[in-house]
Amino acid sequence: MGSILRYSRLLGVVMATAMVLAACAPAAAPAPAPAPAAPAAPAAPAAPTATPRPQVLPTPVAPLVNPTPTPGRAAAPTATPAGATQAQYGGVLTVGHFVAPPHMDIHQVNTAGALWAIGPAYSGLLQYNPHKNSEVITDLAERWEGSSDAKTFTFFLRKGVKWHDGKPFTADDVVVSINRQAFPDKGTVSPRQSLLNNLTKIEKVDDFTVRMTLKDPQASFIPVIANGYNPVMPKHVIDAKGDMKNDIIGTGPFKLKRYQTGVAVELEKNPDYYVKGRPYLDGVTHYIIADWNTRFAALKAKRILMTNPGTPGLTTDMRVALEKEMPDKIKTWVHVHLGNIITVMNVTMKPFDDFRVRKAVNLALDRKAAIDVLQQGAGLYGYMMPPGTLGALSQEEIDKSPGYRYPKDQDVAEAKKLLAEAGYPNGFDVKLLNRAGATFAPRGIFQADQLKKIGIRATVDTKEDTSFYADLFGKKYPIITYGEGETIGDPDVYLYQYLHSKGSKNTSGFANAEIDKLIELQSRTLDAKERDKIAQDIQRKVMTDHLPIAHILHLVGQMGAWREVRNYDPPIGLTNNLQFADTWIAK
Amino acid sequence: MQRYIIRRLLLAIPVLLGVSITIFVIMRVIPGDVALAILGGEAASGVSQEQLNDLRTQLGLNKPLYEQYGQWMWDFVQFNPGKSLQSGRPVMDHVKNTFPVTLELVILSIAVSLLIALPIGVLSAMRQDTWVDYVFRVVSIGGLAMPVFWTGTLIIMVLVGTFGWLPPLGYMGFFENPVVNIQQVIWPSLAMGYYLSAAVSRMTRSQMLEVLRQDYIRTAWSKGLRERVIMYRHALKNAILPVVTVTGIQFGVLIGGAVLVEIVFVLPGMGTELVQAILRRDYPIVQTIVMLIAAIYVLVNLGVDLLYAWLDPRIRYT
Repeated sequence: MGSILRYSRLLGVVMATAMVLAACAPAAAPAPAPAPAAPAAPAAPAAPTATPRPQVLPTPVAPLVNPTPTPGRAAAPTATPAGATQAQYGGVLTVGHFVAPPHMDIHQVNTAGALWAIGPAYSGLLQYNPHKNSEVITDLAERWEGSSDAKTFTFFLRKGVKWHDGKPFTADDVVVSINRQAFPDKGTVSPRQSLLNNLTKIEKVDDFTVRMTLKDPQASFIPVIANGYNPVMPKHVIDAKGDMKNDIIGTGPFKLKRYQTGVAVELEKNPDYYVKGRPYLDGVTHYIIADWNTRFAALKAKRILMTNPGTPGLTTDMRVALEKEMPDKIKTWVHVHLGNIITVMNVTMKPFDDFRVRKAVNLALDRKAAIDVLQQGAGLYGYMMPPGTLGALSQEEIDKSPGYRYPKDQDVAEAKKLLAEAGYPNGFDVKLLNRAGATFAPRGIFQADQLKKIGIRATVDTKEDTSFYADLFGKKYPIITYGEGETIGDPDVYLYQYLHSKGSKNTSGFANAEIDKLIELQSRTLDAKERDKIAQDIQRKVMTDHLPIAHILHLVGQMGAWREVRNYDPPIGLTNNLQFADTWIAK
Repeated sequence: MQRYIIRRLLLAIPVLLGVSITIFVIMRVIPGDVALAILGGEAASGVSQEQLNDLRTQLGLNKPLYEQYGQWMWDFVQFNPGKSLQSGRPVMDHVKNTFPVTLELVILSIAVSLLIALPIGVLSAMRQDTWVDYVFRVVSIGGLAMPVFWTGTLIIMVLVGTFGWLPPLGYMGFFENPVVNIQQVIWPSLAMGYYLSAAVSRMTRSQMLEVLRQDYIRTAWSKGLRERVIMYRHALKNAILPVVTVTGIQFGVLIGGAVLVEIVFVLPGMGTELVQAILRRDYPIVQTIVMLIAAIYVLVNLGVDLLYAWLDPRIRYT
């Protein structure tokens, strides 16, 4: 017994020493300390209920690539604005990442959790301009040409580009990459295959030229090619291993240094990157920090220099707290997310096979309350197309539409009347499918609460992902509330995927020949104004006569970074501006 | 004693067999399509029925259950429990990367809990029904009442808010970088240790109170021995046995249950790995980790029983 006591005393001394060592250890700064600089203007705090405004950063020092105009689009400006700060080399950008990638094959994954951590290692044929997100510019393709009927696109590839393992990049890599997404073989899943449904073939013209042929003109084809889920992958690795699930070999500005499973994805500078003088950073490290509060603490303590974009970045409370407590140290952004929260009603199952019932659900929804409750005041509402994108209905029109009017009394009264006409004067009981998770679970609960107002008694079945997605795509529930992030803000994504009878995300069972035709028509319409009109008309018709989906809100992303991180602009959506090729850290 | 140890180890075999059957059945009974989880999840809209069937065949999921179980057990006893259905990497890689992290966390947490609980328990008993006793009992109940992840989050907030500091990110093993390692594990150990100390201190206190009423303690007092000697050499020695049992149980629970602390403090431990594998329906990883936890439980129980014999010479096993 005496020895136990002695050991426990000794252990106590060791523990105490360890605590002192830990407490006295120098506070490690992951990036060089910032040099004294002119004070930056503090970010304007957003009012909790006001529509958030994206923050604008200074124009970059030099553009990444020389953009080539596509038919009808203007080239990006190349002039360097006077007074812009000179970029500095060095430093590792540390990012707090919310989830470990399930695997490394970007083509086969449908979560930004994988894309962000690996994205800096890859390049696509095209990309969205990191500093002007609405614009597509070149990447591995140095230029492209479209035929006059917009059914054939020829991409002229850069020469002298090398994969991270030293092998040369050629047209064969592009052919394999596009084929495995558009025409996947057994064992390969392609979540975004429907975006390439219109592609009939891709062919290699020569080692540095590829040609893609479409069945019909597709206005969204170039944005689809440019989106971040569409990098070019190495043929020699895919041929050898079958997939890229355990490999990160790209042509991007950074290459894999180390992947510590569940801990961090460390990328280091690619000295052979084909854009001379880039990247500025020595590396990018995504630390996997699942807990939101810990990520926030890590940002404040400067263990990370930046958060993820999107909803895993910051909550409204966190962003407002940073703007109040550390405006001179940390800058924050609110950016367009391209994600949404929707309630899908199965039009093949009672009682939602009755349009009046679906309309009643839509009328009962209080969108402003949804933004306050579910997103702490940061969000936008509309119908399928996010505000500000092609085909979005104007806010003025939306505010006058049934279901969006305030105060809600009129809409709720009309909803009850419709239910009575449909044979449900006392409402009905229904099971609502909801997705589990701290971020997702409140959505279904909120929807159920809204339904209560009109007498619909919803039992919320909250299921974790494996069961949830099986039931969602198996169309096993009459009503489901969930959210999705999308790749590009285009009607081909929002309207085709959700409302076309063959849409890959059409979980309502909605099928209408007229709507299908209009969706296909807008997809083939190259004139942006005309296309905008058709897309709006589709939404008006769906809202007036069909309503398989009651749209709750459009998400906005909130993120933050220490001010020494320069020349970074937040993306539109979650799948672009991943490379950090232009980003630098001020010393 | 040797025969006792051998008998206990042999008895562990049916226990582990029972655990293996239970976890095998449970994983196949819970809803959720494995093939869909592997191929799709959120990307399920891009998966065809043909692809799902092909994958099920490839993974052997369409075989009879007894055949799947038999194959897995045969691989398991050869210490080759297969590959992750999700990543394709060997299961042993997943375990080798995560088990040491959890083991270190658990050992340190137990050490912290004993450091806190034993003195508190003894002092509480010595000063029963005084303000010292009340304060320590409140502290103990606080440890039981506060969820460990909440305590952990509180620690992080204090570190950042008061000192502007957080442990370094990117877990490093003790032999890789001891200073960083200590910085990373000391705080979750404190959070967990405080939580564990509650039960141990209360057990210590109640056992000490019982022992202090014994005749031999009265004899010790009357002999004029110092209070410290009576408490620690005579009383605690006899009161410690149930504490050893509780600590052994806590060890076994923590090995698989430290997931919340691991998440809050960004430690890539086995608890987190297990939860992720369950959510993904990654059968080989789940089954292997559960079997490992069961084996550790059996060994810890045996160790506790042997420790009993060492602590109390009156206990003898045959």
